[in-house]
Amino acid sequence: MSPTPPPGSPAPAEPRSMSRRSFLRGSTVMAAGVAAIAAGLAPLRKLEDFGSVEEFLRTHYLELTPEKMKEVLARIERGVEKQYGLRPHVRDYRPMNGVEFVYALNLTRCVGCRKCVHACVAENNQSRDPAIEYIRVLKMPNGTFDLEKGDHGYTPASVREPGFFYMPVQCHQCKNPPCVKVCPVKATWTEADGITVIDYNWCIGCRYCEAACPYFARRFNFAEPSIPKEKLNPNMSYLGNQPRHKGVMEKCHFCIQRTRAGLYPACLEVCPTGARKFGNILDPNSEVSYILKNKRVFVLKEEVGTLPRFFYYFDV
Amino acid sequence: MLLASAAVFVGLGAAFLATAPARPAAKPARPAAEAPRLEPSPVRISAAQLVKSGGDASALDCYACHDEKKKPQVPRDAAGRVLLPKDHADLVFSMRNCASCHVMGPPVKLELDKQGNTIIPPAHAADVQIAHGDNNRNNDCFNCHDPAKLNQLVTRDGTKLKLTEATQLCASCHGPTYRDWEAGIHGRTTGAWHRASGAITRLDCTSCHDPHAPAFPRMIPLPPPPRPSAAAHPAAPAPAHPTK
Amino acid sequence: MKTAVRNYAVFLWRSAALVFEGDWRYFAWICTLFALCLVGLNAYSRQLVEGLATTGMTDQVSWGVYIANFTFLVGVAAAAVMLVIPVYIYRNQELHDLVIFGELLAVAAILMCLAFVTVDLGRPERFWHLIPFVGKFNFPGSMLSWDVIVLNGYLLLNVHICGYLLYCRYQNRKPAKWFYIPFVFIGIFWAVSIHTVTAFLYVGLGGRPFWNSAIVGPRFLASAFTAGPAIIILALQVIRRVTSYQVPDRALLTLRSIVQVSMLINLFLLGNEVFKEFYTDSLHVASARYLFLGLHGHNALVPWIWTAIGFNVIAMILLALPLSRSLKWLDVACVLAIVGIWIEKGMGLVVPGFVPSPLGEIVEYLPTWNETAISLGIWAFGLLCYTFFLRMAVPILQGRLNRNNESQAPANA
Repeated sequence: MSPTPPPGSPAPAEPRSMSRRSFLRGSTVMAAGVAAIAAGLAPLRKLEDFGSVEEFLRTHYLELTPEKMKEVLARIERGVEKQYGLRPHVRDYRPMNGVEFVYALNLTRCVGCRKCVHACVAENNQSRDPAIEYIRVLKMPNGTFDLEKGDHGYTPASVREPGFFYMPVQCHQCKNPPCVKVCPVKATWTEADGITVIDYNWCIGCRYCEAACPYFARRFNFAEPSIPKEKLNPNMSYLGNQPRHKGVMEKCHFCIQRTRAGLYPACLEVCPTGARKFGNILDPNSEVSYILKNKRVFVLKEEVGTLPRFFYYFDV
Repeated sequence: MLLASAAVFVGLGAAFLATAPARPAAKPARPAAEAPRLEPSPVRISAAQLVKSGGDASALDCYACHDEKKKPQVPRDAAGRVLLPKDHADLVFSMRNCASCHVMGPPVKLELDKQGNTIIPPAHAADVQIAHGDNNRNNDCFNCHDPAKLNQLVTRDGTKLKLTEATQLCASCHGPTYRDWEAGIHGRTTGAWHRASGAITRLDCTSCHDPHAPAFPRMIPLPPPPRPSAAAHPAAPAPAHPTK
Repeated sequence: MKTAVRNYAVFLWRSAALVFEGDWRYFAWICTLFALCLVGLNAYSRQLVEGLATTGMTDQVSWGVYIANFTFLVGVAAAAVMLVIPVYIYRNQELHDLVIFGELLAVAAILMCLAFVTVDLGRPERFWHLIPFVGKFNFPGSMLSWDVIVLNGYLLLNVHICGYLLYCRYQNRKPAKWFYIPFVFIGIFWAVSIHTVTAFLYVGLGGRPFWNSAIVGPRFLASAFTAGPAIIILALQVIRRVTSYQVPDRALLTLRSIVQVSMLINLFLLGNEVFKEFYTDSLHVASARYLFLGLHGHNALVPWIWTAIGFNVIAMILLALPLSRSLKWLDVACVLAIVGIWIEKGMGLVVPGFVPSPLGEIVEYLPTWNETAISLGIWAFGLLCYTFFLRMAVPILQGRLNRNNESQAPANA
């Protein structure tokens, strides 16, 4: 066969037959190339969380049978113990019947102290470094709702400052959630009680949901999370605060491990002013039902049509 | 040519091996202590709470200092505004829960003088005052306290109330707020949203509001989120935490 | 049947063996590309170990150069139809054989796209969750699942068409029309669909006003049909220089008119977008303002977009002038158009969509060295693939690699 002629010379070049020398040279290059590939992959020796085959072939949360779920929960417990030296309680909390959660936040009362932010971090085993926080508190000048005018990094000696109001934003647990719509692998979905959850063990980390969320509610684990052992909250749930690994999304889940056990979420529990109210909207006597009936509530960015389950209101 | 490329590959390989991270870089310890996980205690202790919990309520005993038979005088400045007597400064102040603001640093140690009065730190001097409402018209002690029986409260219409019933006194003026409070909308509610699952803790007005200066006290905000910047990603992933 | 399999195996084997033949310039080229691939591979293994924190991406700007390059390359892949349409619909015979070169470019571009998506994943080992029926595929809800289908489908279509035509040429057989013409026509619609679906990835996000604009789809197609044929022109120029394959000038000039018209449309649509944003001047103008003018003192993208617009305008003027009938000037115009559109569509479309964030925060994005090395590595990988494809296709099309000379050829080791 005839190889391509060298450039510039239209006439076909002399047929090149494989001499021994060129074969040797070729092999040298090949060997060097292969060696370089191997060397290039050297950092992979540090790949620690490369899981087992079991881990690789994990089943989606919604397809776990009760027995399988038991196994998986035990495996997660073992994993946490291995990593943090602390035996946690990992449970699979299911939605209660006849419950749909709604959050209401009184912007008149919020003083911007950020206690909710940090209580949430502690409760939900968020990575401390790199820091992941589910709640963002915006300091807004009175008279505008232009979020660009909000200040995320305010650090005055004390709050609240006159002339401003404070608006905490977290996952709005939308009824029409864009994040769920865009997820290519159904790793995030809305549960019967209205909480949009993520299967951390199914998420592929494409971050499309993060691009889709109009509320900046989702957070990505850009690196392996680090949590000091003594700060770990051992009361864990599969869909909630089990420790995450790098490369997956996470977000506020209304403290599944608390709220599905009947308790208030951590952010509410710690709020010093009682600006945060939470409960079952299907119960006409709940606090949130009272608020939705009697207060002039509104949702953030109503125009995007996400139908949040998170309402804001002013009462003075 | 072939050998040259072989040399390039060997060189590249050597460079990869030389720069391969030897050990996972030790992460720097996070400097500041963080907020306690859940800290549901209110910003102050109401008289009702103090009495109910069996705490030291001796400071609520007015007649330890006042003469029971003599009606006390309300001191006023030249403009007619009520002046807070020094003796009452520590009473008001010591009911504050320091830890509700000082969550990040070491616990607060109160300094006491020889008589055992709390020495109010200069930063809090302005917190101890009589400032009920915006117009200074409600700063008279006897708008709420019974002049004849100081540790008894009295509403505008003359209803006598115990100190532990302060909420009813507040309600006598703040109707809409009281209505919200009754519905569980105003003020802190902690515990279980699902009443069958657990107890619920409600607070009375004076657990959050100092009746003498009811505006919610200013608080030290907890640290803001670390701000990522485009240039803040060095070769090793160690996002900077702001020191503030 | 047995002989058919044997014949096909011999065809594959002989084609593959060609990859290892060439003069020193060829080897220098592929060794350079291979070395760049290695650098990228090394960078990627670091990313695998340390996570995407090795990139400049943040929660605020959660997509960067990977997705930017992906978007650009989907356009390049789609542009192969710009050769197919004249040939199969308008019966332009000059371009007939060149279609293969365009489709091979599409194959290489799709391979790069898939690589860019893979390196962007936080959990690449869970890729199988994306496989229909095996994983848990959110179809038709997620535009990304559509993208998975259309991109892989397009890859298969093009591999089939190129492979079949080349194999027939090798066998001296006339290709059976029914076995490829339907695929060619499906491919035309499919090409439009891959880029439309990729545009819809962005367009469908109501929370990102900068992308949530119906014109993004048409803009994507216009810019793709500018940059894609421009790349094909450059590729054909290279083929002319370094092989004995005859590419007629008129073929290049046909492509020139495609690039010309597309560039005009592209700039027209860009103008539309700019008018709408800045004349309306609502709060939604923030991203566009950030891109073109800078926002609150943040202006990392401003020099880029003006460079892109400058390049595009110069390219358009060059293309409009008769000057670019001279191939040298055509090359210049093509290079400018490619670079201009790469910036406009990559950094100029993906990044400003994230700035300001939905909560009004401005966090700028700058790729890190590691990220850049991975991107370069993927580009090198794509070019290497395209080089290999051409290395095989050119002798087959010229009839130099043919079943007739099977026996003469030594067993190409």
